[in-house]
Amino acid sequence: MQEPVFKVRGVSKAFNEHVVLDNIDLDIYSGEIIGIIGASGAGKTTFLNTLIGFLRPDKGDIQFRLNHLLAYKNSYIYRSVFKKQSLVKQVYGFASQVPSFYDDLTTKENLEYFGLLYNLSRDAIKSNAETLLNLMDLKDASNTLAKNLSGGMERRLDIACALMHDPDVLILDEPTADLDPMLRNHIWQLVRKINQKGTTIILSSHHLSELEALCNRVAIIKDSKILAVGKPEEIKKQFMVEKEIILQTNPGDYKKIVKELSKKDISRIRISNHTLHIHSSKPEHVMLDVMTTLKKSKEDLTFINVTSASLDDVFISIWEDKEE
Amino acid sequence: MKFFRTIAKNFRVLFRLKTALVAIVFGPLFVIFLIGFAFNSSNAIQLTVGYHAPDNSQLTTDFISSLDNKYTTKSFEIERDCLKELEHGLVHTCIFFPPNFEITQGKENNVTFVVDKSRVNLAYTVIEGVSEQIGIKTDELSKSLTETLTSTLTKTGTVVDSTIGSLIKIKKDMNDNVNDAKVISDDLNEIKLEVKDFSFTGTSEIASIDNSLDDIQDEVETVLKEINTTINSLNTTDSKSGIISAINDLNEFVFTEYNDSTTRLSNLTTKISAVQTELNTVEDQIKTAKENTDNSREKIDALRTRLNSINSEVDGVKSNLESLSRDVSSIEITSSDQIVNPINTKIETISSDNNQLISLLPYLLMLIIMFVGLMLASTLVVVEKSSRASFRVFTTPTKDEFFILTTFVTAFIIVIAQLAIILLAVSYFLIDVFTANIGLNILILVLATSIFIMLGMAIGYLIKSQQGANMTSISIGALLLMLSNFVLPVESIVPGLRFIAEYNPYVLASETFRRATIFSMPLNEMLFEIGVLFAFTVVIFILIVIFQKLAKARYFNKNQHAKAKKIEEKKGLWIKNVLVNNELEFIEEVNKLSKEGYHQFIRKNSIKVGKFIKKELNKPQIAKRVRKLSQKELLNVIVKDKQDILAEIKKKHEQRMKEQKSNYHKD
Repeated sequence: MQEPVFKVRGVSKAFNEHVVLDNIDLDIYSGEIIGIIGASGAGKTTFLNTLIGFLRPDKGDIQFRLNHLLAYKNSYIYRSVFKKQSLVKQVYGFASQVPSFYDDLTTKENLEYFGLLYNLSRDAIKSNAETLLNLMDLKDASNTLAKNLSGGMERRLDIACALMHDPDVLILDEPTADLDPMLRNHIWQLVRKINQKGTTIILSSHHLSELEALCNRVAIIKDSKILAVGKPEEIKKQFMVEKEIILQTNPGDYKKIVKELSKKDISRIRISNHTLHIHSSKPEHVMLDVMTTLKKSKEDLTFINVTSASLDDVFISIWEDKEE
Repeated sequence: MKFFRTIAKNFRVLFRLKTALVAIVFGPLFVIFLIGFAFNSSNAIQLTVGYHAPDNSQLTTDFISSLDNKYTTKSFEIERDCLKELEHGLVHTCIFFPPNFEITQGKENNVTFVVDKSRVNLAYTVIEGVSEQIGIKTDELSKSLTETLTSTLTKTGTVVDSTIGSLIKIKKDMNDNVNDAKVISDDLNEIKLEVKDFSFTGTSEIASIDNSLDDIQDEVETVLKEINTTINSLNTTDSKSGIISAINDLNEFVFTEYNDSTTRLSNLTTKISAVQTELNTVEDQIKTAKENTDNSREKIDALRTRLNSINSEVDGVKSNLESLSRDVSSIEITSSDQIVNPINTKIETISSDNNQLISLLPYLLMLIIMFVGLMLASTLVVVEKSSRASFRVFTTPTKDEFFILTTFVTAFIIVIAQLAIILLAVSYFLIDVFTANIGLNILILVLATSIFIMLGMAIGYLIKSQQGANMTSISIGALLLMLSNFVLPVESIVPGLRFIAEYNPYVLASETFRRATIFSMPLNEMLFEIGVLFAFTVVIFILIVIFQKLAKARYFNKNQHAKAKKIEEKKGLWIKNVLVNNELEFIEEVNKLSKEGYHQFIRKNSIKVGKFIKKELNKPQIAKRVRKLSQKELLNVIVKDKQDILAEIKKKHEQRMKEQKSNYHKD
């Protein structure tokens, strides 16, 4: 097991009376892609801002691994992010929910300016900017004013700015929040590419199905706490022991079907996109009941599938628990 | 409707912005309160009047006393000392009284005022205020002189009235005299002293008789002599004959003469009778004349009495007129100029150059520096602070002070460039003024620019929005301006606030710059003011650092999610935890909603949905009807003529189903 790049220990943070983070413990390892999942307002952004030392926790500490000459033979040195701000800022690059750069500078000028703020040499600035323009597919827009870029390009420029100083850790807060599916895919591809170059990636997103495929680990934040941390599969197993029966019928009077079902062994039913979703830990028993009901309701089965739950389902499940 | 909703929205936005609320509502109230409090003084401007009087005459003392009532006065032995204090602003005017200051005939009294015209508003106030006091005193003098004149005239009037009475009496007496004289004249006319024309020829007769007698006497004497001679010659025979002949001759002669004399005596008697008659007539006439003369004498006596009376009256008139003459002569000041203006006031300026532009330059330059510095610096900070890039800037290891410095330098360069352009433009008038004390001038300009830029930066870090920062900058600028010499003299502010106003950086900067440019005052005479300005820069810099840290902390301490969501909402629309940004996503997410879910969603978010449809989908007509449309109707209206979109959704749906089917088969 690698030594973590960030060690989060007992971090709590409240805004006035509202507790946003409650005794959070988390290790983030070098080279991994870790997804932070949580409902809106769950505290993902607060967690990320605390992680980089922008927000000082009410309790606990966060330490980062120091890339220092003294750190050799796998005995790493850790320092508190709150005490060594200038050092930790060299360690990470951060792309927030809202792309952060100067609208009235060109793509290239933005990169060069932020390289300057990271105290890079002139050559390093030039070379890094060139590399990132190519990597992010922004070469053609290098002389375009940032305010004239499209949504996807803005996002890519933002990530490029975060990578300008070649950080060990790239933190992406909702990097695909306002992008269409095509652009989202593009961004995820870039993230993978960046990760393949050895950069640790911490990200949060609403598109859980996409995170599922991308992340090595996910951490679910709920009720100000980290509910679970692990590989997506482990999480799914932990939270969704049930299977999901997805079916489509003709003429498709799903409300009537739901009314007719005995509800035995069924934990949850939802109708979505002209499709009936039935969750159950005993799908074989429910299937029999469903078939009987369909016959009784004179519904013809056009499609049926029994699947394990997706990360989306886990999230919805956890979220709905909260709502209940 | 739209109009009023826009106004309502504007009010909502404005009143939710607390800083703007303070700046817009409480700011002006505070300014008005402060100004009202500052200038709530019925007293005149608290001026210190310096004066130099070569000799403390009564008139000088009177003038100083009249000024003492309103102003603080300060005496100077030497004129130059007063001028020096005037340059420093310690006295506000110097009054130079002339030697032997007194009002005398033909003497010009020039009282000289020296004012500092570079303090434009104060100069005229001082001229007006002090001139008024001097004017009052001058008017008093003028009044006194006029009173002397009018009292003399009144007295003259009285005397003339009484003289007229005397003259009337004299006139009456004179008329009486004329009448009496007429009577006397008539009486005298009546005296007839005419003597008939007669010739008294008796005289020749008498003379003839006399001559005859004389001849007789001569003959007698001759005869006697001959007798004597004959007697003596008696020895001669002839002697006897001679005597006898002589006696004969004598006899003959006497006889002849005797005869002639009788005739002549008869004639003489006749003539004497005639004379006697005439003399009787004359006697009568003389008697009449005597009577008339007696009458006339009486009248002449009366006339004399009256003339004596007239004489005494005339003496009275003479005496009165002499008295009047004395009174008139006693009026010392008779020149109309001197009565009207017993004292001439002369207003001079402390500096030889009266160019209005030069006088105004320090205030105008500082005004420009203040407003440009405040507005520009606050704008720069707010633009940077509210820029999308601000977050990324925070993530860089560059120190905060670096950004403070770079912002400061940016603003500084712009302000200095503006000043350079202005100075270049007015260099024709000011090159001498500015270059005379160039080092100090530049130091003051740099200090002032730094102070106002840093003040603007502090505002920028403290205030969240651009509008709020602008309004605060303008309010602070206006406040500093109101509590300065530019609008009303600082001296007119109530003492409590005057102390604060005197430490107003605008006042300090403009005053030091004024002295440095106009009077070429050296640094050592303004060390205190320059020191205060420097202290201001240090204090404001510390404040900036604190405010910058606070602004940064506030940026992160706010509910980040709420902020991010707000920002995203500006761009897109949240439908059931999914942010939609375009038509395709909107249709997709609305399509996913159940009928009930759609109704709930629209009920809660109709305005947001309307805005999104109007702005992002460019369908204002649908946006208006969004509450009335069912889910199906909304989708139908939006996807109308959008077969490509529908096809894409169908395709996606089919793809999803396929994936699920393939997964199913795999399982």
